[in-house]
Amino acid sequence: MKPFFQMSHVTKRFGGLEAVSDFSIALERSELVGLIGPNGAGKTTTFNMMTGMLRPTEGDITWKGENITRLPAHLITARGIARTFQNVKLFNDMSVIENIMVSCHYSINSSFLAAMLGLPGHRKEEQRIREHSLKCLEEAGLARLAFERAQNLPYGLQRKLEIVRAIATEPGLLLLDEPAAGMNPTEKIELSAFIRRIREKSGITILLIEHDMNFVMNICERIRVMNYGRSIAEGTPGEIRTNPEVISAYLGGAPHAQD
Amino acid sequence: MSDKLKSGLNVALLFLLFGVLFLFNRYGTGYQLRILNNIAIFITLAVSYNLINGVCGLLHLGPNGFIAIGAYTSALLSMTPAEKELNFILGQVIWPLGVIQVPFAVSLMAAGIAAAFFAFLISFPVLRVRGDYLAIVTLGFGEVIRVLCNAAERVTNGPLGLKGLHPYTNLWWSWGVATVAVIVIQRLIASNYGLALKAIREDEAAARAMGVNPFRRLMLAFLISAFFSGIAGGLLAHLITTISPSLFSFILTFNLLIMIVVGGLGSTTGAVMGAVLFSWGGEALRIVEQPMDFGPFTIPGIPGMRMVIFSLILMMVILFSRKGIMGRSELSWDYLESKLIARKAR
Repeated sequence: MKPFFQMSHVTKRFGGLEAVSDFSIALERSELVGLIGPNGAGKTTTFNMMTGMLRPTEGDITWKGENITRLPAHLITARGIARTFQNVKLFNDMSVIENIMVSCHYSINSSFLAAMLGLPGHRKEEQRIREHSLKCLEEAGLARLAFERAQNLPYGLQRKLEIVRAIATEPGLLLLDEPAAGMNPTEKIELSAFIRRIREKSGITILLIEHDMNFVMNICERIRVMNYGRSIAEGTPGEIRTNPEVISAYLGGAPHAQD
Repeated sequence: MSDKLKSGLNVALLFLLFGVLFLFNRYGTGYQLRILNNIAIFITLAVSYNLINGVCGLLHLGPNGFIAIGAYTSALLSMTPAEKELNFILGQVIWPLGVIQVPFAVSLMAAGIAAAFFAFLISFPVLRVRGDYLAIVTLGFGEVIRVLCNAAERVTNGPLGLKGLHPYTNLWWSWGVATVAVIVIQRLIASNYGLALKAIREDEAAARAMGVNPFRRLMLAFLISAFFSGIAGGLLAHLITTISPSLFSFILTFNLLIMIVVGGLGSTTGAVMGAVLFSWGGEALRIVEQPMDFGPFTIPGIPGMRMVIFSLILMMVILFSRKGIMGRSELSWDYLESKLIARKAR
């Protein structure tokens, strides 16, 4: 059986620097996988390649049997891979619901002329998008903030809104880049419950980058470890915790990537 | 406030506007009509310019090029072959232009399409860059058009310009176009397309990750803006009846920029206010240039005084409301209602 999502032998070079080298990963339907590694290991670069923000120098990425390596970002989103960003990237000067409504833009069928003339077909579509967005907000418990400006939300809610915005594109694979960064312990507990709930309800695959080890060990079924652009280990949380190579990567033991 | 009431109020407002215009058309002086026409043309220009600068957040500095293309296209198409022969004394006008003449409405449409086509061509280099670079590239294209108008003597009659156009532009044309432009562009901004444009302005990387294609959406906005600028250029040409390349210099862009910044970048109603303030305010201040008599002492009329006062007013607006009169909000019925309620509660 073909894997749901596969990245095979992907390399990314920035000039002389090899940010990601020969990295492969396969994800199955409704898995929850963690991607960890010290700073600068190439995790975010990997995400950027998966979502079309960067083009790999070598290697292929396939999604549901289709090669998406060279597709631009917006088409990859339309095919069902959504992401959040390491530093919150909301549309600050727009309301919460407008932030979500942008995620439905790729699915809009009526032309700009219909929008400019206010034709009934377009109005119906606007209505559908509005209802879908409100439903997404309700499920996340953000409906009462729908008309608040995004930049006025507290940090934890901004992070949450970013996840909701990604889910509103109705993805099959969700990539979360450090979703718990900067959150306090209570917010982290809420977040992990929220992520679990999303997965149980919609059955989507989630791949997340995170530095908080408790958070990752707690939530993920499988963990992949990167260092210096290479994959150094994979396994269940228990295996990763005791893997000597991972420990040395984090604590700076014997350097392993120099050869 | 219900949607029905709002659309009722909108229709009433339109009736009021055109009623006032009807009265002016019948009883107003030529000077008043000229100012009203100017206001309408600048409303069209400011609202379409705001679509790029305010909503998409691109510092586009070349609308004078689009306006010039629109003005020349519609002028060349609406003049009779005999008038063209009189105008072109340096050399004959090139072939198809010398013999064709179309009705004014068709020439306006052609002006819009020509400007949009030009926008389509330059959007490929322009939309590859952002920020200051985009400003410089568009500024360059605006100037290129002006220089081309100067140089292409057998098309544009070079620096001599085109004279003796029919004054087709009247209140109905100018305000009709302005009304359509405001409604259509505001509908686009309020739709999901407008949201996508604002998303690109707020964070382009995030917009891409949410499935928005920035290039196609920005090009769409660029073409619509150019289309209306071109039509407004055609109206302007047939209002002042004489056009020459010097009319479409960077100063024109600069004036538009002042209008939309004073009105509030990103607000359509703000752009309308800016256009009205700018094109009417300059004229209304003419009284300060007349000699004034304050009993014991008399101030002689100082030419240029109104520009001093006008710039002071503009500075005051920016000092006291840094984001322009409207900021990014719209003067809608809901907005008025919320302000009224807030006042009552106090």
